[in-house]
Amino acid sequence: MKRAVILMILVLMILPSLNADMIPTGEKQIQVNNIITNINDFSDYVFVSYGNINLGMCPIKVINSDGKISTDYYKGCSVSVYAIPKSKYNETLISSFDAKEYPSSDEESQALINLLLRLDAKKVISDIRVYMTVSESSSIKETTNYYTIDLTQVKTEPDKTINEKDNMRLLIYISLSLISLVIIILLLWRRKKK
Amino acid sequence: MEAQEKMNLIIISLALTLFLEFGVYAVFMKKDLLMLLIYSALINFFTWPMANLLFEYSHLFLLTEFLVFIVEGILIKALLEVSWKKALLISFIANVITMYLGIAIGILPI
Repeated sequence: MKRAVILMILVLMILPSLNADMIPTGEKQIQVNNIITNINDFSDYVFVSYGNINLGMCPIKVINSDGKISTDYYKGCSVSVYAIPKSKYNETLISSFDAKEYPSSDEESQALINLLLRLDAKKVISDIRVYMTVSESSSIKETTNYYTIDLTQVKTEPDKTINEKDNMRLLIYISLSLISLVIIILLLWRRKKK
Repeated sequence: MEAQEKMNLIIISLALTLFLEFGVYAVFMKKDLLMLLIYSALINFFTWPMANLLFEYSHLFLLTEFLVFIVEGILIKALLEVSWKKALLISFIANVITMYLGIAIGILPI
């Protein structure tokens, strides 16, 4: 009998985590920002982002002097940033790239990367996150990744990430907990004094 | 989900947890119901927000549930003045019920 009760308790404890894996509930999408902090140190270069799938879903976008990398991409895009010497940068060549010439997305993507390489483009950041979800109960409402680039290496991780939180909810949660704890301690203390 | 809608869901979840746990206390304890409701509120107002924050940072569901079960057991023992065995049993049953309820409504089950 005791064994059966223990087994039942274990099953009851483990079952919810299995369910939680099977049913993806309670997720929310948050705003993601990616910023190159030292873009102005490379005034001889034009920086572009590209999503490595095809131009329709993951277009080439020029990064402005504020260093903000566009996140206006399809969530499956694997976005990278390339630095192209200003002397070689040819906007017409990029905009005239005809995606219809290529039968598959892979070929189109490869042709586009070849085009960038012909312009002496150097990949400086890869695997940039443009899409992120967190638990519905999470207080994180926005995340910003900061990259300090260097033309000699490809960054795969941001140097710094700052999560903007819903501080009001955090404050309510902590206050509620602390107030309750104080009342509980006072109650127990008063009871003990009697 | 809109902020107001989300806040409503959180309040409903906390209120349901509080009343369900109060129901479990009432089944096991022959005490003044109003006092049991107050104790249930105090215990849940302490553990519910803390558990939400712990889960948010750790994403460790079972650890969060286990800590809630232990902390609530200690508080039940202290406030309701019952044996350790009974306190932990009440805490376990109350938390299993609310855990399943939480899963059913799709937010953190505590």
